[in-house]
Amino acid sequence: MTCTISETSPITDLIVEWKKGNKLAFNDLFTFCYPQFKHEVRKQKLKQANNIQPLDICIQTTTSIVHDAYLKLAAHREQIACNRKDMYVLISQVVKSIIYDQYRKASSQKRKNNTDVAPKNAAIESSDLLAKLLLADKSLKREKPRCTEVLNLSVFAGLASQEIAELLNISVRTVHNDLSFGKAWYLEELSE
Amino acid sequence: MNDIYDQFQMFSQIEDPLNSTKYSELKINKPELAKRLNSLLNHHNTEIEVLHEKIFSPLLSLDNPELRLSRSINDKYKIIELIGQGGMSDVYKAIRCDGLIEHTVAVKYFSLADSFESAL
Repeated sequence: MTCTISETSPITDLIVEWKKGNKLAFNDLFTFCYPQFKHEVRKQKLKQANNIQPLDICIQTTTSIVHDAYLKLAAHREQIACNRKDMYVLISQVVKSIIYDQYRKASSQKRKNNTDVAPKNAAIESSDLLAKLLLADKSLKREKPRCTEVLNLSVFAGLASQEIAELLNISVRTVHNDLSFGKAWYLEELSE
Repeated sequence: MNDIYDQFQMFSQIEDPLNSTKYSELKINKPELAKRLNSLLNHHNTEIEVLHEKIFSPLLSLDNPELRLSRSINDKYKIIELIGQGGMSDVYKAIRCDGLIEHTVAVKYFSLADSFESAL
């Protein structure tokens, strides 16, 4: 499937209904967003798998992540505003927080110091990566907040530059510039 | 033009920016800014997929069913072998390891669970 934003999509109406407290609208909204979550995370994982890891791992993890996404999204109803921009920002935040949570869980296994429970190298790697990602998030947001928003929409919501430009009401060139700067910023923070 | 974002965009347009006259001037006038800019410009031509890989690829190693081998369950059973996999779960062979009795069981790990403990 392709992840595109259609002007004729029911998503805005569903968000309005959801914000009013209509639980059925949330279910419809989730049904609409679920394939996008699943597609994006799976796409990322398949891209990395490079035919070395079994496909099952990708599917299982994706299912788990999407399941978590549903729970987290449900808990953030109050933050939703009545437009698609905020919805996609929220999607990127939710997917990002789920991935960070996975690294956080792996890191906490390291602290338990139980050799029966955790693959120790993975725990150390997760802890280090999480710390660097959080630092990169914080410092880029301080330096250029719009770059963080653009990068999150690209990396965690899987939107194309044109779609990000339409959502944020900026030019495609600005999106490219922001992505270039944000990418360099993160790579530098992660390499330190 | 003091902002590092603007400087980055400006130098990105130049061929071989770190050997340009402008960069040499910046190094003299604003050495700290030049140093930071240098490190960022080194990543300018790197594909964004490299960043994706850095963020996402460790998830695979965390979720590898083989990594659950040799873990113990309540100090009673030890997982010794992966014997089956499905879309929602993995099934392992586990043996009693507390020395009280000899016992072999099948353990199902549900992938929707939050933790190893709640997965069983």
